[in-house]
Amino acid sequence: VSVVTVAIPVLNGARYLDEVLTAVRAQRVDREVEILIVDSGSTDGSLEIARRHWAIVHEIPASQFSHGGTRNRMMELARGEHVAFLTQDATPAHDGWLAALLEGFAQADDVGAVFGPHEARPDASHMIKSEMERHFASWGNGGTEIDVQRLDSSPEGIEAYREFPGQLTFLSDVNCAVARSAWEQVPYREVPYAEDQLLGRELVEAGFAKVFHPEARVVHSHDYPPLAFFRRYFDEFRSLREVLGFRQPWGPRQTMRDVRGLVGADRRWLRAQGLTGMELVGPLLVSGRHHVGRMAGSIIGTRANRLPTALRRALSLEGRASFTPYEIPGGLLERDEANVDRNWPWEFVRKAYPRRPIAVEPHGGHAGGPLTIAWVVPPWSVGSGGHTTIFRLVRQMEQRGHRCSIHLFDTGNKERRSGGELRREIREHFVPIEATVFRDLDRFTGADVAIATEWRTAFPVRDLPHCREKVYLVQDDEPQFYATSSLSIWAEESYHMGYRCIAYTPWMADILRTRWNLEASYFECGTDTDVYEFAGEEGREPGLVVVYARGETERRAVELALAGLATAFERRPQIQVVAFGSSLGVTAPFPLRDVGVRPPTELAELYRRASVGLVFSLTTHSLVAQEMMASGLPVVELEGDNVASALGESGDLVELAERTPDSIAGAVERLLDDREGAAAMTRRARRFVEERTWERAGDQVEAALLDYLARPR
Amino acid sequence: MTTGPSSPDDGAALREAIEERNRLWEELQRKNAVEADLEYWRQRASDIERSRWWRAGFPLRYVKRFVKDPAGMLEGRADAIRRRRRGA
Repeated sequence: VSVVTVAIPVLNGARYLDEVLTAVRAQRVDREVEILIVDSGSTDGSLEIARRHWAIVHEIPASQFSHGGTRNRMMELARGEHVAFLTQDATPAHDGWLAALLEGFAQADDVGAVFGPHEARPDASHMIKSEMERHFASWGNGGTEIDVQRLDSSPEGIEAYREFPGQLTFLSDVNCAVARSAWEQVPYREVPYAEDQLLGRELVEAGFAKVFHPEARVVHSHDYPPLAFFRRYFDEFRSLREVLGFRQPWGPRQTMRDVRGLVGADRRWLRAQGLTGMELVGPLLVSGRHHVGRMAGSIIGTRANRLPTALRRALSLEGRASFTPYEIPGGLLERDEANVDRNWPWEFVRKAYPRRPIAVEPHGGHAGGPLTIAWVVPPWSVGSGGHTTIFRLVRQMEQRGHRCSIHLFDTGNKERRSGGELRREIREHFVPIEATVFRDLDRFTGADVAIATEWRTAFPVRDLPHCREKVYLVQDDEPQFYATSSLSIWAEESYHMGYRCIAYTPWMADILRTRWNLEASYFECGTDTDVYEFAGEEGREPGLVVVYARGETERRAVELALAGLATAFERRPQIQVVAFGSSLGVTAPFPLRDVGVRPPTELAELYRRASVGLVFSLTTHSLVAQEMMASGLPVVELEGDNVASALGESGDLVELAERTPDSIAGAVERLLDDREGAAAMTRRARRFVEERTWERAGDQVEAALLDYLARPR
Repeated sequence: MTTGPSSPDDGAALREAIEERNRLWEELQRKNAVEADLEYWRQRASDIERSRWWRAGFPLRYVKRFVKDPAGMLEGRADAIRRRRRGA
């Protein structure tokens, strides 16, 4: 026959012990009930009462008693696989109490402990009765159902647990049962008080379930005079601070509100008992006094560490002077949160692993009719060339009858504006798009095609639901933006995802095909020839050189451009240099005028006045160069496959320089000296740019999208 | 494999259906965008109301409201008390 043990530590408990043991012996369970008493020096006849009820009695000296240590000893002495703990004044409310506790263990294999509610004794004050009812209504749907509690180990679950641990950790060994298998892993701790709260916490954090059973009721309560209540609460809350790190919030308004709330709860309870009108006044005055004492005890108790030892002893009902915070090594409540960033900007990468295929809906390859297209873009600043291209392509798609939406993917959560405000900015400072704009991906509902437009956006777009195709618009060889680093690894990862790509320039498409084995078509950027009108030699200032000096983007090789211009200036001190494009400022070892970020109309005017323009890009071909070409400004660019591929077989369209200061200076000088040759070059360049319209770019992108849709994965 | 309509009528009907689907998609995007903006502004208002500065300005705003419309203020307060009593 299996055994269940009922264990009760006793010290002078004669007042209720007979009643308690009688109720225990009346329990109806399907196994043998062992009653185990550990007495620490009773002198009031408790031992005789225990023996009368056939309890197994162990006597220990009072000096050996501790709440945690003694209960561990009882677990060792007990024969049962489950040990129900009671205190000497907690009487099982009915003969099914023990069966209910055992039923709690049957709820799951991992149940470490079961606890039940306490009913106040009939002579308890209304505050105690009301408080106990409220307290145990916190579990099991208002205290009516079996409630299996476990720690949710997700980050959100841990956060909620840290916010309010008591809801999960509460365990009272006035009335609970512990599974031996759980106790063997998580024994009671040798703490002066609140050993049960600590056990509850450790069980939950160790992954055990804890069960509330509404039928496992006992009758138990304490009533004290007001000052003793204050001291009792001081003890209780000091322990909660020691064990759970809990601090009672306080402040004049907060505490007033808390006391008012507690008195209000008592008032509702009294009304439910039938009290009305003036009958309520007296009890509520008593409630007010009680709860003020309670709040004082809890506020001071949870800050007991700041009190002198003598005062702690004086305030404690049990005369304890110590304050010993108990830390569980590796415990969830002790973790130092000082450096935790809940909005860590790289979570989106971490969550993208393990690698998984691109999520697309199966479809039959129908590519006719207008499409719905969702563009996912990184945050922008006004003047961003990459975003200008994206929004122009959005507009091009809209003009062809496709419907678009734009979704910001802001990894750093830095964007503070609404979708409506973002849309207004795009329409005012970039392109008058019709698309709706969202500040995040929360309300993404699907589309024919979702387009990632930058390596970061490739991560969320891969998993977006309800899309027929996923496409990656690659304007730059982005892994090259970074030195060998996490970012370079992650930017490369976007090429491992299996996207179908639309690259800016044949050069970029070629890289995607040959180096990364991706399917890639390409588009060529258009230029606003209306804004960047062609101007001939007339009106140009001799010796005026403009340089795109956006040092914020390292791929622009601004230092190299400035080094070349410094050499040119050394050779020809009369040249004047105007730098633009940087909002951080530009400095150089020669006189230079920095005009910062300027709107297109002002830049067009500058391009029409200058004699030479310098614009470098190491990872793609620059749209700024095309705008200079459209304006008839002779351009110096760095030699490279990216430039050669973009400019194609159209002959000399720009002056190419090697990647050295003297070569750059030489190119500038050639253009300044040979104005006739420069003018001929600019005419060719203008014709080249005129062929590359945004309509053409739109056609190229649309053709690629339709092609991909016609060939399902 | 590319599948397509088998007759010109089918093609027109399909195109019409796609147009309608796209129109509904766009309508849904607009509705979602409005809802998202509403949620955003509600959150902004709640952030402002919870800010220390806003709470610090409460007495000033209270006095200002009282000076502007003392009768309305007292009536509103009385209403609130009545509502609370009914609720309790």
